[in-house]
Amino acid sequence: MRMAPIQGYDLELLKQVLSAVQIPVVVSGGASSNQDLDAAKLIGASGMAAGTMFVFQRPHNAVLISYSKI
Amino acid sequence: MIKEYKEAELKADTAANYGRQYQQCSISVMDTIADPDITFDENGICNYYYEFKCLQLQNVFSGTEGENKLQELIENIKTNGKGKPYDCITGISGGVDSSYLVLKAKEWGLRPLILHFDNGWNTEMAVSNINNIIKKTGFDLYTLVVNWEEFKDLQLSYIKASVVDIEVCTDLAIGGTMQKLAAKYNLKYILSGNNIATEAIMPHTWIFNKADYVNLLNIHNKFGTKSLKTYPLYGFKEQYLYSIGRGIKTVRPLNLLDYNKVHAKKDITEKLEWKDYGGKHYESTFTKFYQAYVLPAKFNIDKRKAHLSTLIFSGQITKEEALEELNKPLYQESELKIDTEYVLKKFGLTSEEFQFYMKQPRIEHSIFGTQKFLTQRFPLLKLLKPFKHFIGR
Repeated sequence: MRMAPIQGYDLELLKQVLSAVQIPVVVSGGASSNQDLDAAKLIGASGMAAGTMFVFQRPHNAVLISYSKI
Repeated sequence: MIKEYKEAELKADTAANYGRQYQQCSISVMDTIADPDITFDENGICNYYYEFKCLQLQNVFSGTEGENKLQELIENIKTNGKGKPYDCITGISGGVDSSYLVLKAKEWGLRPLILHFDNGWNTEMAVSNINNIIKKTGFDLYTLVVNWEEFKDLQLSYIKASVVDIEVCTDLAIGGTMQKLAAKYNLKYILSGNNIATEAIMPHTWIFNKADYVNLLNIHNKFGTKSLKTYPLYGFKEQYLYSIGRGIKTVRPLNLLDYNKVHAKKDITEKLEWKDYGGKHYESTFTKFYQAYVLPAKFNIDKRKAHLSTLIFSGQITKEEALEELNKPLYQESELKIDTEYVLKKFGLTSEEFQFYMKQPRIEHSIFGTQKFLTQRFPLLKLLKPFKHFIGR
């Protein structure tokens, strides 16, 4: 888990958690784009959570709820 | 019983035509219903045709003249924006005019800050349009999200007051925020999508002054229940201070480029993946409900008549096409049912309460008091006007 600034998931931490536990891992915090979701999935996350990237537009954190295209 | 708009019945009802026989303009689709002030000349041409021609002469420049004026404006905006994060500011609703203006701003090499006012009534399509535009142009977006409980209380006050222009609640806040943002970033130019070719005429009895915050506060004080702590109030005083004091100008570039609605729609569809939602100002569920149900059913006002007549005057459609459009129902029955349920639920009104307000007679805004122009209260301020362009530079 890591909070803003939005610069992608903490993939190093994700790797450590994945190697330490045998249960499904959901990564959350920091996603800014579809690429960030892909990167976490590639490493082995079972799920990816994202909020900010669907709500805020940078740099003014303008609220505009939208779903990015896959 | 639900209040409905029945044009055929209104045509035959002298009272609905302000004591006259029904008459429609020989050129446009403006008529005696809902407009007490309409007049016709000996050829049956209404006053709005002449008003349009006047506005067009004063404000619209086409061909080389328009191009030159536009180039000059663009250069001025760029010069003024040097060394600043933005060179101008513009608002976006997700509708045709504002979307097209943003596209043009990109093509002209301008760097606007885009303001969007979220009053809680955005349709999904409007949001998706704005999102596409921001992604395609790369411009920065600033959203003002209004406090919904306050805004709901304000809109409900207008419904209870039985006044005609409920949209003042939205328009006043947009105008104010735009000026404040321009001041914050030290910008001199506000680009407005407002234009003569597609929206010049509007009977003054259909709308009210969009900057009269005294009227707004008085209506809210009488019918509201919550205090307006965060709502961006903006009045004549601020308007005067920003325009004279800081030299902030609102410019309307669409009047300089032979603006055509069909071409504009085609352009934004191709270049910005813009999607049509089927009616002027229908990007907001409330505005659609207000224009296609509240205004016609309660005030006998069908705003399409003014929109379509403007398009006839600017030569973009024929009267036959306008009549065909007017013959289409304002609302599909099933759609009206869904939207009514949604609006009433959002307002927390029962159907009986809402229909009670719909049946109340129209009350004029002025009954609640209006703001006097600052120059009326302080006549000496008029002396500053000639210096408007020098102050604040």
